[in-house]
Amino acid sequence: MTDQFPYDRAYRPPIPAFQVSLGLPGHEPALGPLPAPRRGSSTILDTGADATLVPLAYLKQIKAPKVDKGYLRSAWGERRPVFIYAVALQIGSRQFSAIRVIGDETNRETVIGRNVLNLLRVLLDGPEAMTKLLNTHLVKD
Amino acid sequence: MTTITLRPDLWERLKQIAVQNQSNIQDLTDAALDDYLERLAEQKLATESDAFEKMHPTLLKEHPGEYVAVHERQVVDSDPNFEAVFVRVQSRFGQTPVLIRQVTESPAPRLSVSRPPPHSGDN
Repeated sequence: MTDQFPYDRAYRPPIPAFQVSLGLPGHEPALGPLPAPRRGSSTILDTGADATLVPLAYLKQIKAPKVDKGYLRSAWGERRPVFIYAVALQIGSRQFSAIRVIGDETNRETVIGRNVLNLLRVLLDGPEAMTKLLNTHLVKD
Repeated sequence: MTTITLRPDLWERLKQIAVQNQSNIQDLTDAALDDYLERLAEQKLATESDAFEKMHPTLLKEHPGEYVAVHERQVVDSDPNFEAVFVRVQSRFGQTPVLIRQVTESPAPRLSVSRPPPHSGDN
């Protein structure tokens, strides 16, 4: 089974994107699929991100529990303290019942980082501008 | 719905703020309590984080790569799988905030992103 998601063309060049839903750990997703199709509010893939970032507003909406604190550094050298939350995350037909995500106070985008990407088989079909999630039933958590 | 009694001076202040903000006392009280409980949770996680950092050399020997749960400055659970620890901790402690952190070379999580800013121009 392959789930397909169009690239976000708000970026130039377009950027690989997903559609995700969020929920409390161990529960069905209660929020989503995200994003609303609004410029700058995508769910994008970032192989350069150690972790997954979710806008704090979404995490507050589902009352996600905080489980850790740490520091986040951007490619531009900015460093700031962050809290880490536990959520259930659904990408297409693929569901994770408890994933650690960073609460992002400053951005509207959700960023899927390597803590999630490394659990998936993903094809970036650039010419078709489509992100394809492959053989989801074969991938082990 | 549970009924609680507020101090008269708090009630008066809430009434004034509700009028100013075109809100109501119930919503204001809920929001204030939510904020207060969030701050308490953050303070507790900070305390547990300090404990984790102090225990880090030992944790690195005994639980390398594992997720450990720290509650009241003690390790209360550990597992290579985050979800397994989370489920057990939630079952044991309910909504009480408990630190769950992976034991790596760094005592505190230092994470990085390379996200590009969204395109803001029209050309």
